[in-house]
Amino acid sequence: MRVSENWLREWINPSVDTQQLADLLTMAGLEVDGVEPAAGKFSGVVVAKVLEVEAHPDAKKLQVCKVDDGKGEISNVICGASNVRKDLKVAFAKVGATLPNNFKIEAKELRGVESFGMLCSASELGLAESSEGIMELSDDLELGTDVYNNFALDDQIIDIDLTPNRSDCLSMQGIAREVSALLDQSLENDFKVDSVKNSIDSTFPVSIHAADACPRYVGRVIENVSGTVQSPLWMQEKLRRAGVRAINAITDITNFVMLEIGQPMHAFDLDKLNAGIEIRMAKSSEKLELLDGQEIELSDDELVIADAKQPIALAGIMGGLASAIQSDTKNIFLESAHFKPEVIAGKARRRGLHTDSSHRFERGVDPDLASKAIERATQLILEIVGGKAGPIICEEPTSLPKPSQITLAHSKVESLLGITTSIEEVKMLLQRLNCEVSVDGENLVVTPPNYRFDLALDVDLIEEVARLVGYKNIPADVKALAVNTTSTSDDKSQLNLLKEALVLRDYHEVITFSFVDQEIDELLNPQHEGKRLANPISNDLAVMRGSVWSGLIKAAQYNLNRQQSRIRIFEQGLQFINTAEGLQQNPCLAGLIIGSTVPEQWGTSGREIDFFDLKGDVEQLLKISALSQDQISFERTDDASLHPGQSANIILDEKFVGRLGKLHPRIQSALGIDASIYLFELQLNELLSRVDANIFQPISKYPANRRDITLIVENSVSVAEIRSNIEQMHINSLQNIKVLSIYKGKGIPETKKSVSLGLILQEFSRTLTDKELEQTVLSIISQLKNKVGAEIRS
Amino acid sequence: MSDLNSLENNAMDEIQAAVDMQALESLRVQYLGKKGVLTEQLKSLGKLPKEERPEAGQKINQIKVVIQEALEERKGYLQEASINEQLKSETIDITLPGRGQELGSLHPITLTLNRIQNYFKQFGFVIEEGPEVEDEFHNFEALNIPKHHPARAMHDTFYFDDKLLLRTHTSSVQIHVMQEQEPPIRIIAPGRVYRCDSDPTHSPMFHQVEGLLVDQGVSFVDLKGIVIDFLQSFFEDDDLQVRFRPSYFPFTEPSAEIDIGMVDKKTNSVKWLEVMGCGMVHPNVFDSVGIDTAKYNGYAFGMGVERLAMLRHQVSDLRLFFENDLRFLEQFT
Repeated sequence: MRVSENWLREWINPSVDTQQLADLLTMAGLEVDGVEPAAGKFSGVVVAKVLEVEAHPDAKKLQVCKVDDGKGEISNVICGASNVRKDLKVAFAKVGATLPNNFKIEAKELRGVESFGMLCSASELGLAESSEGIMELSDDLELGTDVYNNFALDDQIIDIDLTPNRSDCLSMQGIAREVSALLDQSLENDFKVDSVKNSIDSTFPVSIHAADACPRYVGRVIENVSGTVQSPLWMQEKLRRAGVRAINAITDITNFVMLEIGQPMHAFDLDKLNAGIEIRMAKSSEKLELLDGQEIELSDDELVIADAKQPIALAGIMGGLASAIQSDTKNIFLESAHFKPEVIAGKARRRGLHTDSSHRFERGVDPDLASKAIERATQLILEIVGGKAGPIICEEPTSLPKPSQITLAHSKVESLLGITTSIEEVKMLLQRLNCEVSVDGENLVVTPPNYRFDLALDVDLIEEVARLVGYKNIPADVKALAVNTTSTSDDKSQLNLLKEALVLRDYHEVITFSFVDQEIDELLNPQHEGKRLANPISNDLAVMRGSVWSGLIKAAQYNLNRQQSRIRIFEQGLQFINTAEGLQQNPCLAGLIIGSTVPEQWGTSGREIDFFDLKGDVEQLLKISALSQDQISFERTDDASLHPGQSANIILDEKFVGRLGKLHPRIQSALGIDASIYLFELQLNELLSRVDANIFQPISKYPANRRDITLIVENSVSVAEIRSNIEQMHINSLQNIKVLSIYKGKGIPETKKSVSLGLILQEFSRTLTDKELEQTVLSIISQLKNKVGAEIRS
Repeated sequence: MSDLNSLENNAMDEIQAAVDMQALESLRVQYLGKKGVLTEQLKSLGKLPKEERPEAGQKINQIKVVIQEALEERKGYLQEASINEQLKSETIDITLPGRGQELGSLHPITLTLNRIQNYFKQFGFVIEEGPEVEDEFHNFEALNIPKHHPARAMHDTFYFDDKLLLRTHTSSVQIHVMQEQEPPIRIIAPGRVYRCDSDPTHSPMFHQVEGLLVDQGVSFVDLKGIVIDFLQSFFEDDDLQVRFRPSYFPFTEPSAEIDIGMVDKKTNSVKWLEVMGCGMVHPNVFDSVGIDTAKYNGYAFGMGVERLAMLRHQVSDLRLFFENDLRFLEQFT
């Protein structure tokens, strides 16, 4: 809402400066976004009259004018505007004048003719974004007077960002009322509009078929107007400063009244209407061509103004093109109606429209304004455009919404705000807002004014009291908040440990968008259809990620393209999986690594990472989650996004808790990435729910013994298989099995590999004898011979 | 006697000339060993006239002590010299960089979230999270934002269908928590939120932290208290200016926006920067989750994490947070 300070001061003129006024509004909840001058500064421009116009002898488009500046001096001025004519009053920038942007006017010669000054257009004076021809000033402006002063351009525009609850402030009257309440100062004029007596008897039938949506419709016929008349410059200026474009006098007047008191209005060309006005819900598939030229197909939840034949306006939003005021308009029908907010709300937006009218109606317009506005508009039309007005037509099929009476307990004001007040003080504050207030014991009985749609509950009134008291005058106290040590879950600190462990392993945390390109999501999650947004920002942000990997890969690509060759990143966030039972939103911790094991450095040569570097990182995370190796198993997976030979699911008690592996080479090449990518993704719900205190295991006092064995097995025999076969023997003294080396190649048959294991043997009650150790090792060897066909390498 | 004197002199000369431990050892053997010169001298004492024996014996023993001491001294000297030699040969360029893994980093948004959470945890606020794909009820209706409410237009919501959407604020977590828990309630809800808006100053995804306290006898004074204390603690500035401005949120009444005052040191003028929103929980919200408004009330507050992170880390461009350029991330180790 753009408020001209000068216009506001016509209503209320407090003794505060512009900045103080802006601060006052801001601190009352009418946030001022900015204050800017109403026009660029200019000087030396006066009201002048064109005495003669002659064609330039040497330039087709130019004219040489004789201009009277009202000070008895006649100047020769060259002008290129087509609307320059004899007797026109113009804005004349004399030699020595300064126009906005510090443009200085000097005498100069144009094709052999001297020109002393310039006849200005509105845009040259910074009064319009663009303009055609020079400004045509009203004849009643005094010759020789200063244009800047005449237009009262020494004005500031206060731009207020109104919250949707304050529809009552969408007019000069509303802002003035607010200032009045804040400063406890009465208005300069309280805007009584005299009714305009009809000079003709013409009416037009109005029937309301949707009384719930439109409880009041006021109309009036005005005959013999002219569609060509332009509104006076003072009005155009007020519109301009409010950010409304001037169109023609009739339309400008309806807009002016809206800005002045807050009632959106509409004027129809009466001669284009058939038989009478109907206010009704649209029939589906009815069509209407709107003022902005778009043709819409209506649906039956939209309220329309129609004549006997067809809809002529989308009620409260925008008029139709067919019945719009045109230059040949002779007779008009003025509309000033009350539409209920819930009927208008959302309807404009659905059509991609947002008009001054819909903005107000969907927030609520004072129903009392309809009659007042039509009188005010009639008055202005007769004054400016001429014509003869018919009688007021007022249809009011049902009672109008009335503000409800609210009982406000004085004690609640004090307890909710934490301040002490007297009941009298509260009463006086609310009265400043034009509430009717009576005191009933310890309660106040309050009826808000009609225009305050936002005051419905006692807490609404308490906010008003707080606003008028001033939020800054309410104390602040943190002592009341006793420290509360409810036991909290350890989930979050556990998660932080995981993240910090990754940081210590040189992973950088990234945050990527939860919505991704459908293509990449399909590549990574072919088994699920992605959850698709109905209104994505763009195609590459259209589908909720089925895996955090899609974002990580994109982030990796971004960095690969910026000369990074070693990338280690992780992200914590949700994956979204569309299942038959509904959408699952699973918190995950996922990581990606590319490149060398260690950053390039002196004295140590890194090597390309492989699956086991990734697995090592993952195993550490699992350890932090208090999961020991024997609870967890890594199982081969048919995960379509991963290399089938270098990938695994992580299984905990038969439950899937994560996956890891090398990105499938096919996907890698589809994405155009050269580097091998290794990825992991852990399901945090599964991991973090298992956080228990670590339980101490006793430590043996007796020495541990180590025996190393080397086996030769088929390639297909996994270490896990060997390990589990040993574990099945339940050897008490066997404390640990270390994998020492895996070897394939020279000396070993092609289908086989050698596996070296270190067996750690230790008893709790005694020292093991050499004989016992030897027997244990032999029994393990024999078990492995039988179960996995292992041979012992000598 | 003169033999003994020259013996001593010779021994001392030879010891001083020994260049290593081995030479020293052979000198020890030569003079003090079982068959050493001095041992031989002692053995041959018997050959001397009786009256000379004590003096000579004393003298030999004196020389023995002197040589022993000289050997020890020389040994200490040689050891020291050899260690010094070793140290010298082992000296390295300690300005060379250390080896091993680099240090990764937490995202500045995480750092900021941690900072916010740590403050509120000390007052017993529990961290709660809710779904990001949300329904209309939790995101709007229960928060007193009925369909077609103008406030919905300000939210630029991402939809999946008529009912399902991406949450536009973490306020939806309030509803989940109040549906499941009995007061008193103290929670903060950090998380991702989404608005269908993308330009240099708006990201379609960003982060908020919502706070909610429900109890008996809670007032606006308490709300102001904790918010001001939090902001002064977050920015480590006990003199930070904080102002509360009336505003409008459908789910709080009274509502306020919170600005902090950034003092321009040159002009000494204050520029106000909006950082949070807050208010007393609206009775309609309590009604929608079945909390008795006769008994309980409460406050809620919310903040944009990116805004706070930008201020704290002096990041000027919002988009940097989501580009995930390693050169940006590395600055937060």
